Amino acid sequence: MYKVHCMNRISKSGVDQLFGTFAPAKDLEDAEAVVVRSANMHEVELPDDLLAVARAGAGVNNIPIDECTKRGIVVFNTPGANANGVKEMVIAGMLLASRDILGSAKWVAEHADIDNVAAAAEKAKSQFGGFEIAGKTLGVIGLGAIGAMVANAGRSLGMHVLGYDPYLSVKYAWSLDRHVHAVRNVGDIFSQADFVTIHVPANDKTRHMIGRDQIAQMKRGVVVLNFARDILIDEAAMADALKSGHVARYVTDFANPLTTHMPNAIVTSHLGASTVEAEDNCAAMAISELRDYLLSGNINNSVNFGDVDLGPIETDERIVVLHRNVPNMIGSFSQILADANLNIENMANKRRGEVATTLLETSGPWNDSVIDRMCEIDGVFRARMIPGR
Amino acid sequence: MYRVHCINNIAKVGTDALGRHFSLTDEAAQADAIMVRSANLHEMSFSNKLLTIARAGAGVNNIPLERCAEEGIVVFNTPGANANGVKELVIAGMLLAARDIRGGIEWVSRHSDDPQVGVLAEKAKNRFSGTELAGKTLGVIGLGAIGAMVANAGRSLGMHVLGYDPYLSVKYAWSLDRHVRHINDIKEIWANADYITIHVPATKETRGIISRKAIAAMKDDVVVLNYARDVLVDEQAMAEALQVGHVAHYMTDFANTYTTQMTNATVTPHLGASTKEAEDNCAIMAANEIRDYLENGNITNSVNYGMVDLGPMSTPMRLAVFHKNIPGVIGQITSAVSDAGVNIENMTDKSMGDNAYSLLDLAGMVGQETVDKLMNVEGIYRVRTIERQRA
Repeated sequence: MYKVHCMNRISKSGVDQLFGTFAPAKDLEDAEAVVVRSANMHEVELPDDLLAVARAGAGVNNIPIDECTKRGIVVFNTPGANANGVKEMVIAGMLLASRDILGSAKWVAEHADIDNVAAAAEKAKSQFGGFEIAGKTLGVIGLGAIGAMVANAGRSLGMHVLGYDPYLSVKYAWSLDRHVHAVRNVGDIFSQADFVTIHVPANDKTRHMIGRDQIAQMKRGVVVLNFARDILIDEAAMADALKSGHVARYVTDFANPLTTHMPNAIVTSHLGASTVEAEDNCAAMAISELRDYLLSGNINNSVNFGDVDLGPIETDERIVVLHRNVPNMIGSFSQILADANLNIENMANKRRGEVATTLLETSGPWNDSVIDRMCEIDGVFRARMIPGR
Repeated sequence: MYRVHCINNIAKVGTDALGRHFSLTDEAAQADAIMVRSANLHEMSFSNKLLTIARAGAGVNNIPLERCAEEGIVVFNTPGANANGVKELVIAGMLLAARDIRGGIEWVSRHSDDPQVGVLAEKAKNRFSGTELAGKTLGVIGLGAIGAMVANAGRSLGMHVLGYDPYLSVKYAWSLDRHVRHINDIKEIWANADYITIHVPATKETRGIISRKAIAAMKDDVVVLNYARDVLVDEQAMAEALQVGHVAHYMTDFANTYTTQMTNATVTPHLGASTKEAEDNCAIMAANEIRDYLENGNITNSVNYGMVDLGPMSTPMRLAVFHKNIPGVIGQITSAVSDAGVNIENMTDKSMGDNAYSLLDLAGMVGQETVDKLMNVEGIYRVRTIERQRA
């Protein structure tokens, strides 16, 4: 039974699912797999037997990805598990930006003890009035699990929706309301949208994707929502645009010294995934990824190795090899198996950048030297055999 | 040319919608119609010329309805014009109740000067976390213009929706998502809903409909939303239910001495219709009602006369008679017309309470003589003739 260590507290339902299949490892050094939420793993010593790290959540910058890759540790995350939680925050953000609901509730709280508060409220309320989101144009940048849900929600709230995603997958394209208008040029979103919301991963290409020039292209009075990552937006430029009134509201889930001092910013305390359901979904998804990898060698939603999936093991054994993506690897593996008189029944190989994953299903009398010989090949990070039927 | 006097500031899109047969006047005494929002008209006396008052909005307790009825002044309101505005506030209310977004924002604002605010927020955020709306059960009481939109919005947010409305109209039944479950016993809402929202008018029957007993029958941690009228909820009982934690949140648009002192209540200052769109829609709808009444004698969305609609004028003259809802009046109207030698092509009569309105399409014209004769009939308040306008 594989031993799993939880670096953060995970939900009760997650624990129940986990320890039906696995044994708990009290200390990290005894673990073959780790479940983590936001704990920082950069400074901790990773044990030699560690096979996988599953992040219950989307962002993985608390995990030393490169080191994990070189040591043949597969890192998983749980994209989409928090999608509905984020979507609901985006809707709340649009509504709070359209009418000063929060300011008005504060006004009532501050005037709780005055005589005839109802009449006073009728007089005061016009300062909190605003507009409706129905009929407005929503621009969604990034149509992954979250962006696609946000786009559909915009439609069902009566908005015109423009979607931009040059890497749109079939899965999410399929899920989109057919009235979501796909734009090929993100500039169309900047020039037409009354609300702009961004749902892309943070990387070198997307850093400051909403920069000074992009903000300048936006309509005056636009509302910008950021429930993805703070570095996607040039926040110094955003602060200027809020000051001049060009951007009416910046709704962000990221508190930092810049955002907390912006006029007309609504700054929430990173609540996008802070729901019972999102935590349950993340934990359940992380555990299911670990189970599938540890027991079957299948990889889904890894951030450092390519996804491969041969389904349940239907032969005598399955071999999982994590290696550099260099020539002649597969030739070497098949030679070793041939030397051991093992027949290859099924095989899958998936490259991801400079590394690759190979799954080999064999039948015949097993010989432990196969794994030893594979591990000796230059460029193989790890090889592991999982017994089958 | 009809003259319209605006007592409150009415959106220009509304006054524009009146069309070319109308002009605005600053003199109430010169006006055929008055447009009003919340100004109090109870102390105002109306000229003999005044035919109609249109309230751009839903509530009409600023207008003396009975006096208007007896003077033959038709009072309109604009139900549904603010429906989307209220719907969006209900959605915001549910989201603010589900997660303590407001608390999180206030926390950030209190720590705005801490350079480590981001890291601190990560540690503090647990106390503001909550649940999602998707998968929860929403109970909607009242499926009129607003309730039907709220029910559909609940569905599109992935909620199970129970709808209760013993007076459901075909129009709104048609508009409902087919997965909204129509229930006949309101107790099912108390027993099953995680969120309960009420959208009914305030009447004798609905006053206190969310009673102490109803609250006691609700699930633990239920969220109750009231964007309709404060008298619908027994707020004393609500205060106690919030105090003991039986009701998790009460989201209300009505500030009063009870609600402002409640724990776990979010009280907004009557913002449901406080959007530019709602004001525009109300003004446009009020203008259309005035126009159709003055030009054609048709009555839609009146609060003191029944709905009568003979469509656009198809004969040279229409005769409109306001009268007490008593026997014999209609006979007197038809005989007066026939005495004038004019044939009646179409006729409709609709009562509301003690009063009624008859509208007749006449094949020819009747003169002042006929009008005077009718005005002498016991129970007739007012008689109006409308000549077909040249296009």
